[in-house]
Amino acid sequence: MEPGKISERQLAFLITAMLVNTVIFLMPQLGARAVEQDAWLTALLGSVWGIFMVLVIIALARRFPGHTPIEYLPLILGKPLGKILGTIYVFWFLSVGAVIVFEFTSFLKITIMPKTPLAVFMVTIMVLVYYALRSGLESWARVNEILLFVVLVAIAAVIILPYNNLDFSRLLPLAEHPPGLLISTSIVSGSWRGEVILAGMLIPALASDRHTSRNLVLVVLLVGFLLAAMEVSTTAAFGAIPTGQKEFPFFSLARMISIAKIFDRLEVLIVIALVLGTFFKICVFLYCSVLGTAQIFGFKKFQFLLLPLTILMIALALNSFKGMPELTDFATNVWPGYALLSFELVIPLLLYLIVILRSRRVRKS
Amino acid sequence: MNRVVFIFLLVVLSALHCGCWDRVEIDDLELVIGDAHDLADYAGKTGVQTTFQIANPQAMISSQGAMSGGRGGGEGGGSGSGTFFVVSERGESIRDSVAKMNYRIPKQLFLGHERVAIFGEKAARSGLTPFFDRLTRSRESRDTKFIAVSKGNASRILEQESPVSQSTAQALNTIFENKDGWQGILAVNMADFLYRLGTGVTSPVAPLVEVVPQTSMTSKEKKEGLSNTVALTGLAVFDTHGRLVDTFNERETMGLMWVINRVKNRALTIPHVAEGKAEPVSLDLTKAKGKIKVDIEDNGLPVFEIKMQTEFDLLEHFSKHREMIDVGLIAELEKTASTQVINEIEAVLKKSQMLGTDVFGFGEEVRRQHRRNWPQYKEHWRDVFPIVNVAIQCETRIHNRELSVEPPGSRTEGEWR
Repeated sequence: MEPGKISERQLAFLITAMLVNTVIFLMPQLGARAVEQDAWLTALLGSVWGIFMVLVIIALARRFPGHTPIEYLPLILGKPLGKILGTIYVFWFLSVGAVIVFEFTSFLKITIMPKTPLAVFMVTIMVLVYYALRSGLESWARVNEILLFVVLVAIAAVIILPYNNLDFSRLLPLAEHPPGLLISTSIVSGSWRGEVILAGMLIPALASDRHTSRNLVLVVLLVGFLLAAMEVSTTAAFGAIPTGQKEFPFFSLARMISIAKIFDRLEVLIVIALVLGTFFKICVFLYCSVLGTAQIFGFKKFQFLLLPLTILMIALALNSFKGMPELTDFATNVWPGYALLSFELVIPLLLYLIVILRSRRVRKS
Repeated sequence: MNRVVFIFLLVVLSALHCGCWDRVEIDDLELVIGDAHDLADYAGKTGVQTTFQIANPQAMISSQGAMSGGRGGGEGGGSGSGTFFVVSERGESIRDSVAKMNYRIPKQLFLGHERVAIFGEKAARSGLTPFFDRLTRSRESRDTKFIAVSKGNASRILEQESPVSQSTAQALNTIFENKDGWQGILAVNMADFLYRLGTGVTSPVAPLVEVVPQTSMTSKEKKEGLSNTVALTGLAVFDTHGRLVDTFNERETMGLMWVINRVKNRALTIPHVAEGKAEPVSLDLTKAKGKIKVDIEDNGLPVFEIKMQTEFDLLEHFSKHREMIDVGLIAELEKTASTQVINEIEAVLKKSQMLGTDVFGFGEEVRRQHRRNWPQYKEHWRDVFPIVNVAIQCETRIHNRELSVEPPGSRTEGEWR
């Protein structure tokens, strides 16, 4: 269905852009609130979940080469059940995409332009996303290959440049909180890492599929490392408790940057860099929902679905939350259950078990 | 079709690039450089009084060239006023009082360039916690801004004109930026203060500023009657709820700075006894390192060991004697310097244990070094801290003596008459 082909590196870069953005908006706050100075440990622990999900999704993709999850769901569960679950999955892509749009535009509104209506940001970025998706997967995957560098440099700058304000003794004592709490917090940060399952929708578009699992595992580890470094930096700069009291700790951290009075007030540049990364994240989510919708209904083309779904995503995003308090509440209480514990890990794992059991039964008979 | 979409996007997006609804011209902004917060009566209740020191950029720029330092009433710029002006209002909350300023101030108040936040003594004694909500919530204010506490009303500090700088807020900011860690100057920014407040065991501290008589005046200034300025006069000490408890004097502040590793530049003057008379020797700090070690004793109380390592150069020997050439004497000076450092630390230790304020972060150290024992102290650390035993050690080395070997014209002991 997707006419374009992307390389393995482009896939890895796309997934990096997708995983690293938005998790750094909220997770330092949620992590510090839950386990104080041990937040960075949970960021690293979250990678374990991520790797697990990569392995499951790759194993499923290997069983059904050339098919996206939406296509092989009916093959595993039978047509009616498979289509229903597929529809739910597509709604999941769309709704999580809408949450991301809301989260990101709220971030822009709160930090830079408080008087500007949310809809302006949403429409602007969605028009761009629409334009990118219209040009085809190949082209925006290639643009991401160039721009991801800017995003990663911006994130690294936030982590490293406030060095004169960092006091690493604030990270001690290490692992003060009980392991159970650390693991349950890692599920929250792992939920963002688990968005890696969207790679399943892109794997059929790969030109070659030799190192995909290795690449994706590396991507998950890199993102875990970046998030951990971000949390180390925020905790060292503010202390664990004040970090948990800030709406966007990484933005406050970017505001601390002041080197020799010359590199000062850089936060807006950093926000602009993050606009790039989040743009690609929204691209991936909208692309997956459009492709998934077309595949459920068996359309030959999906381009004509682009406009309605773009508008639907804006509508969902505008009506999803009232503001940051609701979103933070969602991210702490609902998101792990909505993501890692259902759509990201548990359902794919069950699917894979069904596939194994079936093939074994086939082999026996 | 594609080209049409492209051109359409180009037009629409470039229209959006001007900042949407949040477009602000810098001409429309009043740049606040310092803010002061006090408690004051408002509508029969206790409210807050907020005072802003607002820069007058035109006067500031022209007075930079004109050497006149700060106050050039009328001579700078076209606006016909000094380098800054002050506005003060009362209200129920900080934001409430700021909102009232809009009736008088023509332009939009902008706090993005504010350098210091000063809190009045009364506000500090009642607790600073509520004041920090607005200061952290505002997207304009930064965590790197400096915190200070004033003796008396904080508005007094910002109203004062400064003979040494264009405004008192700028003067304080420059002191904090350039001289943090010198003598008894401990610059505390908002992130530091809130970190200590957040721990719940470590006491926050903030420099104390005061309006003091100016000592260096030209005869013209004496005639004009400009005889006051602002200066740092100590360190305000808070309890874990952010309430001002007491203040440290210079010596106690310096003692604290040794322990928390904030000393950068220090002239330590010690007595050197020669022929029964004490002569002052000044030493210049080159390196200082403090370390806190915690042990838990059999009776369950933590015991602390402060280990200092200091390195000095000889800065001045105010003497008539020719002795500095003697290596043995250097060793003696090292011992005296160590004693001096230990004395300073003991002074602050005694005071803080008396006040029950853990300014050193001893509680945090117990938590870091003995985290299994920490829960048993956590709740009543305030009661444990005053009775813990602290051993202080100091190791000093004196390396060089700058460009002189001995005081010129000096004599060895017997020859001097």
